[in-house]
Amino acid sequence: MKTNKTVKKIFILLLVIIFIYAFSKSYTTHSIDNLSYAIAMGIDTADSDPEKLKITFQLSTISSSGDSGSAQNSTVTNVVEASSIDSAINLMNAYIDKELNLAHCKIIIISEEVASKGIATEIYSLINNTQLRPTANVVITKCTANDYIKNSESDLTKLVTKYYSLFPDSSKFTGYTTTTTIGDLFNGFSSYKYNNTAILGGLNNPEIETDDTHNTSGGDFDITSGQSPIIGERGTENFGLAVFDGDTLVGELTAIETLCHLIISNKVDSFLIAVPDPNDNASTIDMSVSPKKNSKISVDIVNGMPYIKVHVFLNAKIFTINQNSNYTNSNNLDDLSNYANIYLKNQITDYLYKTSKELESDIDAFGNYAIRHFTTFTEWIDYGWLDNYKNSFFDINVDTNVQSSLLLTES
Amino acid sequence: MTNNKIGNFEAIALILTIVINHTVLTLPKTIVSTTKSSSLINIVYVGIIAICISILICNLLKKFVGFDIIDVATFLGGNTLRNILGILFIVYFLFSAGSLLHNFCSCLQIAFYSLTNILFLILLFLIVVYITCNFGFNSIIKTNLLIVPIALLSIVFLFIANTKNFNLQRIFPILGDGFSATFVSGLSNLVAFSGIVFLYFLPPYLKESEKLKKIAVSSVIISLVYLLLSISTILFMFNFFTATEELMPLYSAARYIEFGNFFQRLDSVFLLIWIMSLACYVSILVIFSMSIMKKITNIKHYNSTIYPFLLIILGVSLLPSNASIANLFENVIYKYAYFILVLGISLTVLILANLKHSKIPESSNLKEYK
Repeated sequence: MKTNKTVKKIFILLLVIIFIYAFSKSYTTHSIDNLSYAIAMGIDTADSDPEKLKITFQLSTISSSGDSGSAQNSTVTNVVEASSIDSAINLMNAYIDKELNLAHCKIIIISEEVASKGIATEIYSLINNTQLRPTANVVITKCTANDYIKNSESDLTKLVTKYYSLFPDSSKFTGYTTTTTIGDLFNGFSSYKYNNTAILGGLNNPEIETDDTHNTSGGDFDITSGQSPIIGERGTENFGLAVFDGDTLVGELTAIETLCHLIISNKVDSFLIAVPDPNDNASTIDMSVSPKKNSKISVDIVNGMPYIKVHVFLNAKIFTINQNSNYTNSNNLDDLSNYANIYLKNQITDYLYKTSKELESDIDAFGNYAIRHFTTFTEWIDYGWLDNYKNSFFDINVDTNVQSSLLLTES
Repeated sequence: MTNNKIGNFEAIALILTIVINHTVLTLPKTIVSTTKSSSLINIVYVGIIAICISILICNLLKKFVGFDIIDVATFLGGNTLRNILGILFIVYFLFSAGSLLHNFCSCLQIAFYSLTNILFLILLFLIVVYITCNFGFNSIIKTNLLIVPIALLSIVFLFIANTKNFNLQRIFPILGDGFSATFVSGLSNLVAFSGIVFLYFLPPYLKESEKLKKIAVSSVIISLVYLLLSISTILFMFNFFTATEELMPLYSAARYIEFGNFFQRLDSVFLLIWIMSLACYVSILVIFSMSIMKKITNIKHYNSTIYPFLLIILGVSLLPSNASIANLFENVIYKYAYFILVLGISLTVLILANLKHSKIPESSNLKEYK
């Protein structure tokens, strides 16, 4: 009996030792001392070989505390050229003597040059990585990804990781860009119903040369990244969207076009527009606009071509007021509502025809509505929605209700 | 072991544990791959059929109060049929435990233990199963009763937390790959309700055996709701059935859950719940295999049969050398085994036994077959 108990104890002890040995490898390599966390990853075409990739990793180092106790930027940037992302990570592991971990990677930056060749392989490889979260944002940059990362740090946002997490959220109250996660891109690339967009980033620092910095020909909001009239301490900006057909970059949207996209897809909480003043067409009136309810979208197939109806419902409040303003008068408010309707209808119509005729990319996911007319998946594939989207014609209705001004209603 | 009587909730949890564990792994992927956007219609359709089958099984067992399928086989074909059916069920249980264990441990290895041999992950589960089986039937059933609601709630939470990522339009085209794919070849998705296999073994364990039908219908309806939530989650979130496949789609869906900057990476919590659920499931399969073994061999110390059974599970779980073979095990062999054994042979045995029963005098004592 006593021998049995001893044998049992020895057996349990042996088991514990075996399991400690078996799991120690996984524990050791995944312990925080042996990991180096990338907070951003940039993908460019390699300088030496256009077939290769130049991957930039922005790595966090041990953060220090400032006088106020707040965290400070503490990052290093390393660059490696390799034939694939995984090879790049492997080479980087050898260089930094730690395992590079993407668990805290907030943003993937891809240069226009790479995106225009197709990025399905890169996106699929990254989504296949167990460390990277599917909620990491993807930015397509008009400059190189390396320049974008180098210029992203700023004193305004002390912690660059926080900046990477928060900047796409500004779209909810500006409508000039939107959150695009790697999970969204992955889903979109394998979809037969719609195409993708991604955040469009660029440099705003006039000292750094880009092809088209500060070209503001079309008004305040007719800009994309790299064209804004902002001169700031941070060297990067995010205006507009990059448009994909499949996995290939085919064009870009300006800030106002991005706003139209977000209005249709119900992804904006409030935004500002400048409509012509009914009493003085030379000046404009700024309004704060918010959706009254979700846009109503219907898609019919007429003679084999998509006929898309979009009805947008908005509420607006007036920002601009001058000495002769009277916003208690219902005629004045109705006039402003009509001007806002016409302005937005024109913008949305132009935007939609740009997506169908010029970009040939259904980024508003109208395919999700069109598919209701098909009973089987085979019928849908045979119709070829994404190829037929270029034949679409649109009927846009905007119903804006200008409610009042803010604190002053009459002057 | 028949002294261990279980209540209605424990019986329902027992049936649900099969559905839960298969759903966590490959089942939703299999269903959505088969029927695409018509998966929800298909699962309601096969759910109704599963209810009919479970009612049929309960009605067929009505004449054999307190009998399980092994006892019924003894009544019908004597010891030969009893032994054949018993061995088939033991093989079915051990194979499905091994196959599921391999798939789950592969996912665990990929996600967390990339440098640890899968053997050690499987061994950890088997040690847990060994310990729980030594605690006895009642403790497994009671633990299962605790874990099943948590596992069910995890799926409800997964569904609610991901609603912001849903695209409801993915339900179109409503018939997916067509009428035939949804309603004819889609019948293969009956495997989703494989939990009804326990209906054949429950009667001797039930405190109120007359409530078998109620237990059967309730468990199939809960399974149906559970499957609808799981399939809706992956159908509304992913396009994967069109071009790509994910290893563990519900785990992938869990990776999307975020509540602000504070609550992120909840996927580990889901895995923890599912690990406990899987350990319970394998324990239940082993304890039922032991019970069958006891019946067909009449051995006194049936507890020692746990060792060969755990070794067989270990062997099966180490058999697949790659994902393709693991897929073959889970999506082909397990599916065919379910249709042939659970819906084919067992139902035939029950029907023939009922025919035989109707021909014997009412005064005959059935207890001699137990």
